[in-house]
Amino acid sequence: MTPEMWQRLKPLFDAAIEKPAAERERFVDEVCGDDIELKKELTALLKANDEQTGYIDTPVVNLGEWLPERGRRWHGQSLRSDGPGTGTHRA
Amino acid sequence: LASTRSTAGGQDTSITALLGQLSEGNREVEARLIPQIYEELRRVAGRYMRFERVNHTLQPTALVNEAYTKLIQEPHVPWKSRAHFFATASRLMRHILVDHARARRAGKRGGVQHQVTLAEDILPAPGQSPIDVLALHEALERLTVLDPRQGRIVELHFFGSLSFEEIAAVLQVSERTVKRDWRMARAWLKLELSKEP
Repeated sequence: MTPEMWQRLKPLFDAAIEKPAAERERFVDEVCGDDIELKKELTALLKANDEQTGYIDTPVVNLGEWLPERGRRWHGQSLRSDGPGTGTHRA
Repeated sequence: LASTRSTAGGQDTSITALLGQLSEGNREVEARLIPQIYEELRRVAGRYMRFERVNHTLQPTALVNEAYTKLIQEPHVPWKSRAHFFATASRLMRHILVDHARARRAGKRGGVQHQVTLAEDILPAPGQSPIDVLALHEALERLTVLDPRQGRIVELHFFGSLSFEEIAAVLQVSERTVKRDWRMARAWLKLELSKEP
């Protein structure tokens, strides 16, 4: 993987995951064309995106608890499938 | 950075306000702020190292002392907001945990038998996998070569528990951009870490 390849992948990945699962394969075929390497990388990323990621989703250190005010505000947020800060804020 | 909370004496002492004053160069505030942060950290540090390996040898007290030392060695960091403070702290935490993991690895190679004394509350919770901090750190370094912003987003989340909103504030990009970058970085890290032995 090179930075150049990564920058090519970014918009394709963003566009692909917005599409229904049934349409993704065709989309990947269309945008990658004959570029086998691009297709391989994009397909792998999409597959990984759909799977559970394990510990990556849970911060190793919860710095929010350092400060009580912030801890109350952010406590209970879901940091799972949609990433940080996607849960409902508590008052 | 303005704050609306004030003490009875008219002096705002909330951490938010202190951070704001610190960003304006008030060193006296720094002297009051750092011990306040230190106390908070000491209180909770042990409880939040949840996924280190079971034979982790880092004591919460050592973590705190190292964190505190590094904080006061960075007096010129422009802590413009709480988010910026957490951004600094997340990098600090990453370095502490990586340094520790490297030392532990070196100790094993040298045949040193570590006497592990773990506080019960820093063991991984039942049913949760231990984390290989070095593997994650190395994968993050590779990600940063590919896309520095994505690497920073993962660091802010994983080692600092910042929300999308806070990460966006630190990096001065939209939350939508943070979410997009996070999603792709997360997928890539999953692939990279699955390759680890």
